[in-house]
Amino acid sequence: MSLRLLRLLSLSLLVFGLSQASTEPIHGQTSPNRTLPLAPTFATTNSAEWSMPGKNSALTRYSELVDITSTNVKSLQPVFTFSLGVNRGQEAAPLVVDNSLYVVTAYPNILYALDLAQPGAPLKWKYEPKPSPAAQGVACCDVVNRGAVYSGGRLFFNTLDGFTIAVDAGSGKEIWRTKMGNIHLGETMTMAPLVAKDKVIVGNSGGEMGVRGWIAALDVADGAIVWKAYSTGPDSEVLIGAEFRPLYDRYRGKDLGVSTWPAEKWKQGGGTVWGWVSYDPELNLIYYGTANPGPWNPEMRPGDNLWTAGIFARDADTGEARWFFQWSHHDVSDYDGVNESILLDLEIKGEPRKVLVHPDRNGYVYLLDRVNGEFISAHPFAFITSSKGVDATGRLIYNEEKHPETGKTVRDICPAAPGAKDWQPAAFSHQTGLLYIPHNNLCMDFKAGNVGYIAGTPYVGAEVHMKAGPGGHRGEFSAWDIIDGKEVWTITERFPVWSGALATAGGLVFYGTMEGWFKAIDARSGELLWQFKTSSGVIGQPTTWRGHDGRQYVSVLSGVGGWAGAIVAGDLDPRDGSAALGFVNAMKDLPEHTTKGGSLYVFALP
Amino acid sequence: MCSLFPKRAKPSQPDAVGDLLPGIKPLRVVVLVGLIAGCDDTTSPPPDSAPTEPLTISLVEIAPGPAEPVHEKSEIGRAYANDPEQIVVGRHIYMAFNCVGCHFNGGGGMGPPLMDNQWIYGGSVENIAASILQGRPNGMPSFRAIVAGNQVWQLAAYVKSLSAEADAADQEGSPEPSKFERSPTE
Repeated sequence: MSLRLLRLLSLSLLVFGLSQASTEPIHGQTSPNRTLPLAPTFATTNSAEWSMPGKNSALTRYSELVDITSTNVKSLQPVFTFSLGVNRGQEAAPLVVDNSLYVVTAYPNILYALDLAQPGAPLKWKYEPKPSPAAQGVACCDVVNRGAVYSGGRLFFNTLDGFTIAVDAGSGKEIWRTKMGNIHLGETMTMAPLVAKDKVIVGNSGGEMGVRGWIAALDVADGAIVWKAYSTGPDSEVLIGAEFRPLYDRYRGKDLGVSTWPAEKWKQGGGTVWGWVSYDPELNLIYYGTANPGPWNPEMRPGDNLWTAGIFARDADTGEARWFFQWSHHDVSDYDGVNESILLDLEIKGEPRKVLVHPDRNGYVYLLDRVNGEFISAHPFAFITSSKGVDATGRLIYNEEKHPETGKTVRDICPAAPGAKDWQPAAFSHQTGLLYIPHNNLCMDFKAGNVGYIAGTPYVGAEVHMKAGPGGHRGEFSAWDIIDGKEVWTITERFPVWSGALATAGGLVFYGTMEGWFKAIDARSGELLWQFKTSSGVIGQPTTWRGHDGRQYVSVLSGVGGWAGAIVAGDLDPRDGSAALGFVNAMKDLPEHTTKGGSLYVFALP
Repeated sequence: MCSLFPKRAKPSQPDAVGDLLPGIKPLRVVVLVGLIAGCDDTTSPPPDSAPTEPLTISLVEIAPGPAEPVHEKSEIGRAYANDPEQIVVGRHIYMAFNCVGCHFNGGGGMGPPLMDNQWIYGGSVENIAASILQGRPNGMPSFRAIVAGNQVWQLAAYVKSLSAEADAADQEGSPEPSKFERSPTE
């Protein structure tokens, strides 16, 4: 058991009150004289721009810019803002390339280009994809978009109604659009694409609608689908073939994506691909997680429910699966496996290893060998009652006391359905070697019920009520020692920390809160060095870049929403705690702290 | 009260609303859920009739020129809305058609709340029935193909009942809010 878990247990076992947030970091200790984890060489681009949400294909979200430091950050001030004209949750990352800033909004997914070379950064162009308004009715958790990606003079992004679109970065003209999702089946698209060489990698959302998950590669030139791989079903459709070499027996066998389900249930089995994709150009492998199995009621789908709630490594050119590892077999708590897998190089027992680090919804930070999928370690980074750890092969050991039963309310399942950490991406500092994890402290009561599949309607089968975890705060921002698998410091926040993290060579990390504070933290000590109150809650991905005038800027979107902020973004009624899949129960006071908005903020030193 | 689907064809399945529906075609759903409506013979059900389309009742409180918006209520709508038995049946349909997955117990999620007294497309039973059948542009699907006969009235009566508390609070003196607009995006 980790020190962290002991500390949490000693706080008070399952006493869920609400308390004020504290910004005093709590410190752990790190072992001296060790080799720090490193970013792979392909991720150390030293670019002063920011062309993709994860900064590089290892998804480290680290900038080498050093102008803004722990010493001078206290003078940081806003230099311009821009209204997005959309009052829903803004989760995207502002991108900066060639003195232009690009940002995509929540539905209706407007893509803006601002001219950073002009005073006040005026609008250069905007592109409106005009997604079908009906798509709003099948998007489970607010109508968010997690960002565009820039590559080769083009911007690529997805629309809520299921199109992948390429836009010319200079003119704002559409180059191609490809229909990928079908809203009539409940499919939407919210994830940020990744460009791997000449391919745009995208996946679908809709795990609460009985959607069958897939990932696909499109040709950057014309949008033609090069390959598409499903997360459930026969091997031929999952793209499992001769190249598939999983290390563990449980992933070996024919058509496990069919046989680990009751008859035909894999067709509505979820495993959507709405999170982060990373890419190792040297191994030519992409890495991505698959979402929860559907429906949430696990008694309706006995079996391991492959290939949901796990991670695939695939050949970027062919889509052929290379290996797979399941974080949560037969998931019982909506623990989607889609969180970011950050690619790192580190020494284990004196041996250099190519690894990936993955903070999962189930509450553990995993280390896997990214060459062959070998399990290295898993350590809890949050309070967990749903499982008791993992075995030597990394298979989760469930706590049977927290297993849902149809018709029965099982109380105090921790983490709650959004997990110890949901989509909000962590950052890895190449400087401190630490992982910075924005996350949740939530538990839930879960009552499973039967549900019938009707295409295009929710397929959940559970009534959920979420609440704060031990301590009463609902969010944390933690620095994590990857090698020792333990927390270095943590900052508690009143609400879930639903924004992404940013790390810089100036010794800083940035994140935002759902009240609207945008904060700069000392990366080593966890000390709050600067904060600015934006107009709405911050759930976006901060980025930093050098402007045409040579100064370092920091940018972030403000605009509360997402699943956690649905109560505000969607005007939901706090009297019904089961609203928004039970998240409303934990967020009844959010409307007292923030209102809807949608703005870009850009900061710099005077 | 009676059980759901007492005469369904697959007795080996678990006896719950949801499991009756997986994978079956819409018409079958109609047949199965149709059993709900007729399950209680102890009360005389209101007239069996779908709303007339287009409905004569207006969605808005203004009308151009000398015209007045039409606020008339239908006899059938009133009959269902005031019948507790029909409201109970409506709740079962609400669960079976996964309305609960979007609107939950009235607080909303993918769809707007139903327990407050703000109605984007009108809060009369007739307006609600029309929204269920026709769908609405910002995400409400059209359920015309899977609700049959008087089910739409039962559903609408249940949905209307969710806001009874908010309506009562209104009548206790707070000023009447607009029932016709939620926000520009919804």
